[in-house]
Amino acid sequence: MTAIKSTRRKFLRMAALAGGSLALAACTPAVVERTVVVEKEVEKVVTQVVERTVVVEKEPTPVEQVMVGAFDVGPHGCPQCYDPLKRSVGYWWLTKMWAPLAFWDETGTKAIPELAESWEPTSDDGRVWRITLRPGLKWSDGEPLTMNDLRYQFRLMYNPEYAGERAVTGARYFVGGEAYAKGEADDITGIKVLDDLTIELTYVDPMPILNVSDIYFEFAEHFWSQFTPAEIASGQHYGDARPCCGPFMWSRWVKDQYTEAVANPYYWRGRPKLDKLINRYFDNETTAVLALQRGEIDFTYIGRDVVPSLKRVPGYTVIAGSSGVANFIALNFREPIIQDLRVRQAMIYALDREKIIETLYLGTAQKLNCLFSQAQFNPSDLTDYPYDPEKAKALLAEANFTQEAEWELITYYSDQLSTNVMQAIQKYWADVGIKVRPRTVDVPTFNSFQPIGKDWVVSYIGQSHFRGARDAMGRWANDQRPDALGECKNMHGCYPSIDEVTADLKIATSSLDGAARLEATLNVARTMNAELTDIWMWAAERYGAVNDRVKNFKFAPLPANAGFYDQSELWEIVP
Amino acid sequence: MRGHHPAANQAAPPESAYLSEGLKVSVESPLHRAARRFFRNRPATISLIVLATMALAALAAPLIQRYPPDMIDLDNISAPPTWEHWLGTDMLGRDVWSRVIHGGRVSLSLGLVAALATATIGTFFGLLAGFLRGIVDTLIMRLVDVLMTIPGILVLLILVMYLGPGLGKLLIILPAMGWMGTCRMMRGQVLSVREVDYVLAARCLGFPTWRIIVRQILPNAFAPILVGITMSVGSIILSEAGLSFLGLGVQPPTPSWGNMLQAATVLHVLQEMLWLWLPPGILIVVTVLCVNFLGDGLRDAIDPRMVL
Amino acid sequence: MGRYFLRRLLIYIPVGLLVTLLVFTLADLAPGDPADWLYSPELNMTYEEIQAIKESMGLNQSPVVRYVQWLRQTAQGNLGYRMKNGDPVGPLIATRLKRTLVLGGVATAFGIIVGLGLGIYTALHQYSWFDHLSGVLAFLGISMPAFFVGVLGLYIFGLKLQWFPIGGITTPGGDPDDLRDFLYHLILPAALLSSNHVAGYFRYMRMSMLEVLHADYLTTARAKGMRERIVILRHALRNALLPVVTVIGASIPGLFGGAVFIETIFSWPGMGMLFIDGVNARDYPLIMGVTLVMTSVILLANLLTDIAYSLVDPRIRLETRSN
Repeated sequence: MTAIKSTRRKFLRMAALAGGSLALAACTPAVVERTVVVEKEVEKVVTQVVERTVVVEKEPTPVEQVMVGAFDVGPHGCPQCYDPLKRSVGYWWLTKMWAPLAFWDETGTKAIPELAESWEPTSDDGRVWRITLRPGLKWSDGEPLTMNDLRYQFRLMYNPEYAGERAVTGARYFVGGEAYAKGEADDITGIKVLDDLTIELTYVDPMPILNVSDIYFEFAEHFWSQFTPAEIASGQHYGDARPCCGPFMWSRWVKDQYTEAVANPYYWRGRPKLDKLINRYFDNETTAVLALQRGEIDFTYIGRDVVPSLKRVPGYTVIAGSSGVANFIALNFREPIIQDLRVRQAMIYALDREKIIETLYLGTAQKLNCLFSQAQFNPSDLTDYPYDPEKAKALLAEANFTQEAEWELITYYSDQLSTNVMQAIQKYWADVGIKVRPRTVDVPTFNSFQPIGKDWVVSYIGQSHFRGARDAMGRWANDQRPDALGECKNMHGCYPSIDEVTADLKIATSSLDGAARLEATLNVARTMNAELTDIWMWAAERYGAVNDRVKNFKFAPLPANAGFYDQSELWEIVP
Repeated sequence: MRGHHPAANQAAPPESAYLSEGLKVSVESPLHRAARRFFRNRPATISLIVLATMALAALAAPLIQRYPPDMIDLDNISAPPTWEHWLGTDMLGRDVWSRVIHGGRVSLSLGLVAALATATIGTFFGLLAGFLRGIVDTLIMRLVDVLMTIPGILVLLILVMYLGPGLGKLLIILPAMGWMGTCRMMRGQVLSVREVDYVLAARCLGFPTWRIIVRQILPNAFAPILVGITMSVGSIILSEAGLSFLGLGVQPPTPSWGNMLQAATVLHVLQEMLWLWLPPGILIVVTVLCVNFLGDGLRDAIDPRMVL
Repeated sequence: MGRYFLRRLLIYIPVGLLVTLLVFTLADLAPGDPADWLYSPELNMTYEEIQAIKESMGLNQSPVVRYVQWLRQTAQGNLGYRMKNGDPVGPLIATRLKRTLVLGGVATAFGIIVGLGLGIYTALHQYSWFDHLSGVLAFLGISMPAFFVGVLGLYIFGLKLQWFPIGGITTPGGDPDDLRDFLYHLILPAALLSSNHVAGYFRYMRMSMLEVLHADYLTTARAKGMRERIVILRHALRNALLPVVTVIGASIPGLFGGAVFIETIFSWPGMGMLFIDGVNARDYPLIMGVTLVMTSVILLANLLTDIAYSLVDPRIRLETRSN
């Protein structure tokens, strides 16, 4: 009796659950797809543009010029990040639709003017910069693109109604910015539009180099001014079809699946060869690779592990590029034994970095002896620290090295290659008597304790370095993390020569004398190498794979803010 | 007598069961009967042998390995099987055979310990709910209702977010997903036995509760608990493999079948380095299969009509 | 009796709240917060920027304040917004839930059809080679980890045989509302997901069928001269199906979030990935929203079951009254 009761009971419960859930599913109103609504609006814009493009368009090419790529797979990507306040990476796809003032080339050293024709400092103290746009630029709906749009964008970004607290941190670089961001002033005095093509920016601190690739023309004034800042901040309009100034323009965003962009006939370099460019979203890199091999997509970022097999498959090209990220083992000087230079030297002598590069990276990484991989930032007198376990053991004995307990080697990298690297490090150090245990944590956990120097002794991390000293400020200068534990407000704690390095970094980022900047950067490199503020490892390559039917394709796996010129208007499908 | 399976043969009762002079009655004990039924079930018997062999191999791992499982040899990475390395080497040059048997240690012991923990927690709460009734019973049962129908994977993810991944944490997290079933079953047992005459008598006589539990309730509940444990071992091993896929399982360098199998998600390994993932994969499948057959066999042997 | 159910309802509400409080506490106590997820450790965000982000996300308020805020918001019908990109949580869950239910529903349907079919057939042809083969295949389905079935299946059927597309729910560039396209993308993940269910239904159906096939009343029917086919269809099958329906019912909860691995591998934008994203990003409005929706649906279903059951079985009604 008990048995029958429980089964029938269970059955009825589940039937009710099923019925309830079906009812729930059925009743959700055309909840749906914002895309349906958005598409209707988009169709209006697209048909308008198409009518105009009929006039402008060249002979239609025989092959369908539609390229599908997984542009947001990989560490540089941020799928569906259309809210500027909530993204820190993901700029590569954005540059397809909204162009910056200038691009970098793949090496990150040469600026390639894009929307801006020229830019120069107009004051002796390097605080005032004048930027001139090319004449005749237009948005994708035909409206002229002027510096008024840029001013509108600055005003929006630093408007407290739009950006809240972030308005202040962003605006304070400009004269009069902080007052505006706090709501005390109506306008930013440091941003002046001289005429349609010229803008004058006045910075609070001297700016030796202007980062023109960081400034995107994302907000067209004539479109966005119809909404209040608060409305824009709510995020409901980021799915709208809005004016674009890049090679492609917004067509539609099918949520959670892909974003479609079509050729922008008003692009200043000329209408792109491709008709449609689609960015498809994947939850899993393996699926993206399978789709690439199947021919469903034409490009994806690939991890190191996949490179050997793809290289052997005909019809695909594996593109390698410097990642712009230096990998190293950060040291926490709050642990007393780390403060002994001999211990640090032992740690680096104990590692056969070349062997790891040769076997795990298959020779595709560049060994580092300081933070920078660029030749111009590496002084010729750096010590190399070749693999020498005997020397390491001797140094440790000299320093009376003891550990209270096993150290944890913390990292946030979860890919197979990095896991293998961590275990190789563990083995090399164990061979000389340093005991560590690799531990991978996720990014939020990592960010909650590692940057303030809490609860770790060694951690394997990466740092973008292709901008030189600017990239080193955050982790080597003394005043960057007021919340860090201990006296020195730095991730490392008080490492030797921290004050000198801080002074050098300040010179390297703000001096107007190019030679002085270079010398300061070289000094920083020398200190990093001699004092071993960290155990330097390598700068690895990262990869993308593209179907050979796409011609003129360029890819540089640089992280986040690095807007590089990928000549996307020249991409063409030739079977 | 409980219902008998219509298809089962009726064994002739042993002669000595007939009441004859001297009133000598020798009846087959339930344990004996169950064992006989069990061993007649071929898949179950084979499974038992296979599992026992695996357990033995796992225990003897340090003896049957040729190299230590974490010995890195960067000169010999990703090598296919040879006489030197029976199952080849992985991407750090470690011997795969050794990692497989040590992984067996981890996976099998994790399965067993977590299953036992699940059973213990479930039994405890079930007894609590069944005995104390009232508000305690209601609260526990409602909690069980909700937790039981929230998909296990969600509970798992939330706990891993809080505790972090790792073998030790898994021993807390996995039982947290599975205790509800045992709890319900135990409570049912307590409720059904509670009102029976001899228990009432015991309570009237003032026997302490624990004694009632141990003497009357647990022996009856033992069988379903045992079957439950064997079934959970399989699902725990599968959960660990799934968690390894998400990066939340046993962390390398500790080998486990789950984290060795998840290397197969890389196309290159899937297509070309079969020696890395095929052994742990096959072993997981075999273990889960055997454990399921074993559980089925136990259940059929003890009570074919048991509703579990 | 009404009072009994009122009492049950009154207990469910605090239990539901308790669950949300538990989940919130765990999410809050977990190391890191939504802002910590937002920036990659490889870049340079200054301390001020990070603080500004935390402030604008409201993370500097005490957890009690945030929980109460969330409660108040939810009571007004607003499930909040995702920290990651400001998407409103309610409609997001609805869309994703529908997709997961479709995937799970079709997978279960596959499982039922194939499992029951195999179970009936093999019961009728016991000990044939087909019986043994089906048994082995069915059991393989439940013995392999879900992600592995997904990867292997995608590799074989998507890449090698090229029968099905590689992931996604529609073809990029095509019409997102195209039903045929959607079904084409649905088949492979649903079939692979069903491998889990097939074994279970197969076993139960077979066992149940076997039991019934040897029953006395069937022998009577045959003795009466009924045709074998009617014997099986009208008597055996119907009785055999009863316990199996219970088992089917028991697998319905799995529909809600149980397809996490298949969804990840197939980039099927459903509840599984949503929840994993939420947990990874410590996106507590999202985590809470999902928990609340699940809990409510379940508790509601429990309540409805109890009501329905009491209506169906008069003994329960009397029993509750005496309670």
